[in-house]
Amino acid sequence: MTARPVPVQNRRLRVIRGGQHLRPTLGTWLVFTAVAILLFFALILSRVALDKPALELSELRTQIEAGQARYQQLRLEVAQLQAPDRIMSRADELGLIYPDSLQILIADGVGDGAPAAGDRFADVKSILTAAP
Amino acid sequence: MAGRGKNRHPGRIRLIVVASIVFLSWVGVGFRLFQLQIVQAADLKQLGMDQRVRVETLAAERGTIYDRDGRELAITVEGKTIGADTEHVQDPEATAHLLAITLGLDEQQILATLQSGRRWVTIARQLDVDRAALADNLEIPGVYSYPEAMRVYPEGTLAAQVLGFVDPDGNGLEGLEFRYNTQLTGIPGEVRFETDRDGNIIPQGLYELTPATPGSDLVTTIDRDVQYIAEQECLATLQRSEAARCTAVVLDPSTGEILAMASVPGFDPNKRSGSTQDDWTNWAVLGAYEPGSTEKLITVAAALEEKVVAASTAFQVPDIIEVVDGACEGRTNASGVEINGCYHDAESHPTESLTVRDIVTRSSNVGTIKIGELLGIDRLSRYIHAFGLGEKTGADVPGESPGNLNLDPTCPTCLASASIGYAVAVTPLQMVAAYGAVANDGIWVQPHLVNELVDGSGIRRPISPETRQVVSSATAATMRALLRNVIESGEGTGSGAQVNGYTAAGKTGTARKFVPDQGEYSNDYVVSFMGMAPATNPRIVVGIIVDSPKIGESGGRVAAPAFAAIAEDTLHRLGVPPDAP
Repeated sequence: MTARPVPVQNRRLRVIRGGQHLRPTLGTWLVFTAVAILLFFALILSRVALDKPALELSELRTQIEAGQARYQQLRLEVAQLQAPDRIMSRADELGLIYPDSLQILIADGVGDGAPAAGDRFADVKSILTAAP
Repeated sequence: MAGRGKNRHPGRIRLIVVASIVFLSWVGVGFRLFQLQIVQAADLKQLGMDQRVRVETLAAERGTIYDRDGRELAITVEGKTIGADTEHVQDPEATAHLLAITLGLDEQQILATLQSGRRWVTIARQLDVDRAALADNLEIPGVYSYPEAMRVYPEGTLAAQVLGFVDPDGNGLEGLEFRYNTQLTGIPGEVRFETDRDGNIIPQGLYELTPATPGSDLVTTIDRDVQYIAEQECLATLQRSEAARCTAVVLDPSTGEILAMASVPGFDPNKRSGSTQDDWTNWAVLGAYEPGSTEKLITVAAALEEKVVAASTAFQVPDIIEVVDGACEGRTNASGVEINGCYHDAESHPTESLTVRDIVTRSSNVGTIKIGELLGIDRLSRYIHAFGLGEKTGADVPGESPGNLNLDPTCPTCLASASIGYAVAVTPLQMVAAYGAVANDGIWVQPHLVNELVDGSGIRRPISPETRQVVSSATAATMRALLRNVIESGEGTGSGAQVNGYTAAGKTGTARKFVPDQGEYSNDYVVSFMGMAPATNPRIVVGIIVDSPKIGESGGRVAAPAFAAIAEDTLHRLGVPPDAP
């Protein structure tokens, strides 16, 4: 059990000089940058692709609204042009007058079986509901 | 050992303290997370949505009002409202001047609006698009325009009292616009969408659209051309007779459809400024008047139906009749008031034998009172009600007057007065409907202005009128013959009502105008004509009521020619073949 000196271990720190081959090369940086840029643009592209239909939809909606407004304006214009008061004024301007006497001709079959007012309106309504 | 233990203990305490702090921190974070994510989650989510989500109401398009052939009488179009942000208006005087010139508005009013102290002001609402574009083109700083729906009546004054009008917010105020406001208005929709902090729409964000349900369309019974004919003839009658007002109604007796309902003077619902409540009033249903002789139709029809008389029954008819003792001698009662109860014919004549036919043809008051006396107040009253007097017809018009009947059995003069069209106040439409019953083989059909409602999906809801048999077909035919005689005999009061190419039947009416405020009759008259054509198979019933004519002053001279003109043009318009040689 004699004491024996413990062998002194060399515990000096060791410098590892292997860093040069681990440092990213210029090529790696370029590839990384390119990928990053591509990803960035891909992201933008995806956003644009996603937003585009929404914008188109919005544009279409605007067009529909404008079309409807135009349709209503045209309906109004037609109604105003057909107004009896306007037609009478125009007839007066053109020098049209009532005849002194009337001769009424009655054609067989005409007028009999003519559609009722309600049915005539149904025809008109079917056109109107096809409005934009 | 003690030293080592002493060194280790503080480290452990520190560790425990730090660990406890970290633990408690995490517990705190967890608690807060629980609070935010679980307990308050719904409220916070809503708060966030409220900050990001905008809700815009989509106004429902107001239904269109059509005439019977689908021609627009009232339509909603996009208009433009001009507003201003007063903070950005650089020169209010110049701005007001420019806008006044461009839009034709009052400059001082615009200036007052711009200087009102409010930031956002409205200068002019619901202008037509072209007119608003003129203001937009000026590019005045602070002045802008935005779309706003506006109601337009493309025919202007045509059927204005029937259609009524709406306020700037689209609420019906008069006429059919008011009566059918709920159905015409529809249900507003809404759109919910997310916006960023600058108010821009986030394209991929929330977008929920609840479309507005458009209001139902109203298909009226009005025939635009017949309405025009009636209004023009009323206008001409007004000018000829210098009367205060003319009302005309054209009815299809078999269906109860009102083809025209005109009151002149009228107004343009597109430009109401300057018009009065009187102009807006639909006098055909709101203006009760004493009908005078046109009401004799009911007295005679009731007597025929009850077989009290026949058309050939003769009466000894003087030109004056006293139903209250002393009334014709100008006696007064205890209060000093002259006794009523003396009736006379329009023209004096010796006592003569007149048949019922003659009494109707010559419109004899005395003869009709004699028929009424045979009938009695109870039976006359029953027929007056059956013909629709004294109660609303239910003709789709708000505020319709039921008229007023004074048929008290204890009243000594009521029977005589009611027999000849006094002591009863009726509306023009009630009288036209009563004549319609005679034209329609004794069947009274409820007059109406609306044929059907058509909702946004095209589903149609037709409106069915009430009908009732008032007198027999035979009585109605006899009455038509008697009324035809009024026009065609050459002796009747209605000679002026002859319609070129067509047979016609009708009756004149001339009644002193009662002034309710004064409680007595004035020197003015209400003259009228109620008739039907062709008499052989009536397709139309026309009623003309002229208030306070200054020239003519009788139904035969003022109203009968108007009836003839309206009937002729209307029958041509309806394509009815002539039936007279």
